[in-house]
Amino acid sequence: MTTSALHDTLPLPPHDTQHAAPPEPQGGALDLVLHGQAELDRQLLQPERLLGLTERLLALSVIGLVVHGAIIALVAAALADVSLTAAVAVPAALVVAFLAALAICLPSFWFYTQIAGLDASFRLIVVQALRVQATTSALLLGALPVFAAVALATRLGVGPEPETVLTIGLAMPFLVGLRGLSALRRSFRALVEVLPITHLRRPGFVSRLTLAWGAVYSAVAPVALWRALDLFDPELARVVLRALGG
Amino acid sequence: MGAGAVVLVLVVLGVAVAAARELRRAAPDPRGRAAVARDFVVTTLAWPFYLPLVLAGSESAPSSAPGGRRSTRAETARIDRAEADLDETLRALSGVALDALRAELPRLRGLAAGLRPWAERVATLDAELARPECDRAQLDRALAELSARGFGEQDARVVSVRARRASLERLVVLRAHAAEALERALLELEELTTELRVLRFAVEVPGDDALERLRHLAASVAAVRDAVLATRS
Repeated sequence: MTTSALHDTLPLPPHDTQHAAPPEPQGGALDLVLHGQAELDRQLLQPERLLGLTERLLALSVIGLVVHGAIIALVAAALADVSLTAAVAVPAALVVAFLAALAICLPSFWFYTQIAGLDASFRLIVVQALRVQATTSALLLGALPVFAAVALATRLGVGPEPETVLTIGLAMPFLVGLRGLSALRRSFRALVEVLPITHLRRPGFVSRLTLAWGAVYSAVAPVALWRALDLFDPELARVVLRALGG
Repeated sequence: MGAGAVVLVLVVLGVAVAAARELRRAAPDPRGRAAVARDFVVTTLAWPFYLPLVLAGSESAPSSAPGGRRSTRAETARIDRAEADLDETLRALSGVALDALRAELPRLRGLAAGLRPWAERVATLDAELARPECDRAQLDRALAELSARGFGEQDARVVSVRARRASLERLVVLRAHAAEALERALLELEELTTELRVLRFAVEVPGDDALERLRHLAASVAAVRDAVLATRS
């Protein structure tokens, strides 16, 4: 890396000596996660922006999960005769499950990051975790037309079984979440240049760190989703269980 | 413990975090009561994501001095590492590379040591910012209180508190500039060490453009030396 390139990765000092917080940049959370990941990295290093980032990423995470849950509920009502109360229950189950799983995993995320040798604050870990969920939620919104097309094919008798379609819908956040993890890995690679380092690391440690984040979340989130679905909409939970051969 | 009890405990914790967030607010929220109520509800429901922010301090405060001190310790450790790496690399030089750089060796060995006063300056600024009278939240509260008591912008008390706040902001900027300069010099020093390592092997390869690399390295040495001298001034 050249010296000038290194300089480009450095956080800039505040420009205005009379004001504490620099003005918020234009663009919402959706812009940031879709094509502003580098800008998101820059904002992560400015503590005064972390609260705003947390709120915006949390809002995007909830919106994406609610819309995805509502579409799953509508598909369930159309294909599997599940009652329309699922239109409320499924979005609620998705939001509660994925955000609760994220919250439960936060201490582990921080611990793994410290072990990896990056002295990241807990606040930064929170925003990084929400960045993964927000990226997943944004991509879920983009993947919904594909899911709707598969559901429509089933309705016309040329697609997979209805139970399979619903299972695909519930599994989509996990599949799309891999893209969110990829964004996390890129972000940590950029942050390695500027975060305090507590000890020397072996090569490829960022990939292992990302893998550890993904592994612990993958262990917790499905259980949380199943429990939340069983709590909010037992009828749909039974349909999914049948599709899984239970 | 049943599900109801768990939910109750979580809600109580959420209310506590939301209340703490409101109490730690540096100044009254200019967005009005509706926004405050919305923040309270959101924080209650998603309290695990807000708890670290609440524990870190008031919402308007930038990075606090304790965090800065930890960062300075990390930078001091990094200077130690950079110095050890550079020393080891210089001792391993031989042949053409050693001949070309012999005149620069004393100055090269002093580069890392030249960064220590700068790290001390950052630490001193951190200590200054950690003093109670440099508490930005307290100054904001004082301003809000004076405003609530009806004192205008021209009042001597308001002017005095504003002047203190402006001085504090200047200190924060000075600290940011000092830390940035130190970081840049450290990165350049680490880059130089890497180039020296590459050179050590490059000159051993027949037909390689080692002389060109040597010239490039000499220019880098001069640039790093200038950068370190600039941090001393």
